[in-house]
Amino acid sequence: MIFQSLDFLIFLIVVFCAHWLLPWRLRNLFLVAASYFFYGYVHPWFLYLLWFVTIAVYVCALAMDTWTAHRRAFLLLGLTACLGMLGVFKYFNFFADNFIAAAARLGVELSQPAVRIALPVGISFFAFQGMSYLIDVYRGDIGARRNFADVALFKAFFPQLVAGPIERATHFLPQIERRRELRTEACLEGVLLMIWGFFKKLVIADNVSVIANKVFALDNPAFPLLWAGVLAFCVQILADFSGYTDIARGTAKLFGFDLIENFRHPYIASSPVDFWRRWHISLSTWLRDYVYIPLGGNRGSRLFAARNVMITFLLSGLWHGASWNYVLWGGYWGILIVLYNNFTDFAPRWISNDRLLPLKVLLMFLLTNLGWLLFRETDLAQLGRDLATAPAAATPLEWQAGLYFVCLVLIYSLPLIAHMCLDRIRARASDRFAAAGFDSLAIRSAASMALFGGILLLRAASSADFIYFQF
Amino acid sequence: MADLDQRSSLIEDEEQRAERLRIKPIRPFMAAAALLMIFVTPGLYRPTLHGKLPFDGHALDEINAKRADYVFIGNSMLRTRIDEATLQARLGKNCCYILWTGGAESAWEHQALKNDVIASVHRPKVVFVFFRDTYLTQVTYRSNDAYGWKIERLSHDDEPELTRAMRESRTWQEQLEYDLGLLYPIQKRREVATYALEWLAGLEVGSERVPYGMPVASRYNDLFELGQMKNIETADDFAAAARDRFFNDDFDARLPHSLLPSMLNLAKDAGITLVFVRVQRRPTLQGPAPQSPQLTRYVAKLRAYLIGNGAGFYDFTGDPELTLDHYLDGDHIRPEWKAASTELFLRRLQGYFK
Repeated sequence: MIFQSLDFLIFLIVVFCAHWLLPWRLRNLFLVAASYFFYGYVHPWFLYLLWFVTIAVYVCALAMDTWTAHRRAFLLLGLTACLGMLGVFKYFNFFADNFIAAAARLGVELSQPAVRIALPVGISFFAFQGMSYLIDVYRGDIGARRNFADVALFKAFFPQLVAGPIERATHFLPQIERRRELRTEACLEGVLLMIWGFFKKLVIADNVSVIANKVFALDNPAFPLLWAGVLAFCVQILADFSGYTDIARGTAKLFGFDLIENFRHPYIASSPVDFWRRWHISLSTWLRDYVYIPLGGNRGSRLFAARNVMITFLLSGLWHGASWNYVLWGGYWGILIVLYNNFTDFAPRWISNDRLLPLKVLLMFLLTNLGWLLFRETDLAQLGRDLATAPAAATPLEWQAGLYFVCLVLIYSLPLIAHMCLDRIRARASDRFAAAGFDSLAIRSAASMALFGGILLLRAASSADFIYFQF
Repeated sequence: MADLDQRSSLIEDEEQRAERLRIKPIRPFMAAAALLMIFVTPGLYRPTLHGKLPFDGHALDEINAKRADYVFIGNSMLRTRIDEATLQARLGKNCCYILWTGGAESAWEHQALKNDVIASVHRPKVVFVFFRDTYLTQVTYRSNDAYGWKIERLSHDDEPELTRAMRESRTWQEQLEYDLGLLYPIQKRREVATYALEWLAGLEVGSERVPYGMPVASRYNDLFELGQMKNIETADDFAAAARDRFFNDDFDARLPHSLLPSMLNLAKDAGITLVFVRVQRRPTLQGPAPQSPQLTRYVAKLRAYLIGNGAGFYDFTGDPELTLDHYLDGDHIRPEWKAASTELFLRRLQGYFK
């Protein structure tokens, strides 16, 4: 089921009412059933995978707690179940295709496998969430849960099941276990957050995606068109993914849960490290805590630290999709971070001057856009041609069209920019902000009314699936 | 990640931030008032007095001015296949009128026939209606949202036949979507709002100012012609998915709820020959696109019904002259083949042009 459908609206209303009418002991069980219905709505067979991972994670965690001498073995078993499922359903086609291509280069002709494996939505998200639970139990950060419904809900809670945020057991399981009360203000907060999320998806992402899709469908886009398309994609992916997260967080609030925040205005990042503190926070912290730090982090030589960064980011790229362009994208960010880390150690002091901040943000934004080109262009040969496209080769009409698309993207981005500015002001002067009444219910409701009206008036003619569903 | 050698502290930061943004405890009636304000206020806007978009008589005026003998009704299938200049060269100036809109399906075609063609002062001799597969009996296909407003603009206040067919054919989701449209008629201003933003974006781009209301993006259509596209698989996949969705169709069950009988009656009463032209789906390298047995049965029944009721029917499926190289994306014909496709049409249906 997708958020931007009437089916979801009806589902949400029914589940919300039933959830709060049920005795509290039954609520988690009911949410598990509702989440399975949500996930299996279009393709019921996807549920088998979810059940497989849930049972594997539940059993292995319990076994770790029970047979402590064999903790490591059970951890490995659980991780193998999660990674094995990912390997088969997400990476099998990729590795098979590359293996066949490599063999062909060596003169060995191999036939394509008889079956192509369909990628179930959200598989990377729930696999990573399951692994985090296992590792946390192994490390002793939390105890293994005996109540199967609690673990099942942690794995399958429908708002964040298909595209995150990737919740941690330490953060989410206590919320599942405590008795949740229906709080009016939390529900209202949830609705406001959902409206903002829907606005980002239906108005901003879907409208600018038309430009990005047009440009990336071109055989050899001219320089101005290409970069207008990249800018459009840059806005699209933020609005799309953060929109999804806001809808998920808003929906979770209706049921008394708080999901972690996934985005903090990533396009005002002033460095690559800063960007990853703001972009897809739940994934970057996951990789940091379960990959980068266990690898050794930045302890040791520069080379050792650089190796750890590169491994982490290459994995991050591969997590996004079974395609070389994602690996390239991950490698690109790894290199940026390695360069940045080494540069900051030797950079002159004036570089850290606050007055240079706008320049740093601009540079970072340009580098981010270059990254999005690697991310969006799945054909590496075309990517090479894109990077070699010269500005001088463009015609005046192409420049005009490029400029027009940039202006259109900027117009659609205005609400994002306004939100970012408001958030900055609020963070710096929260007391004065509150005193001025900007945080009042009336102002927030009026803003949400405008956003809802905006959805009705400006939403795109058609809405595509959320980009991160495919990961 | 470089300076992050300790475990996540972001979650704590985030909790502090969330705490700051949290709404203070409020009474339920306050929340209800806020929700009412958010969801009711946009519904108060009415674009027109009784909600319906006004009838767009521009095609009717053009038909009256042209006094064409041959009218073609359809969507992009028609636009990419029939070239007006070629028709004029063959049949004479003002011989024909092409009445099309992007994404039009049977409801729009019914309204175009009823309120533009038959309502015109000069009645054409023949009207050709282009369609694909089972769409003639899929009344609700492309009838909501922006497509719905196109139909509304071709409708008068009272359209009993259209209303009946829609009511009988809508699924509960389609009905709910339609009802939400009635609840929030502000949505009918979407095109205006989108135009306004596009116009604003294009205001200072280029050497001359674009008059308000003119779609700016259309100036750049040439840059995005289908011939410039890198591949067409995506469009084809999409077309295939849509095709499969409509394959399982029972002609006998659908017919009474469709607008097809009404179209035939309207044409008969007006003394117009109505010819239904089934366009060929994009063929494969091996030949015509495969058809399911249900579809073959459906088309046979459709043909028998149309011919039995005095209409014409022609099916381009399997035409040996329409091979894969004529096609671009989905079922569209390449622009360079448009004239040849028109010639082919004239040859195949020459009996109607005497």
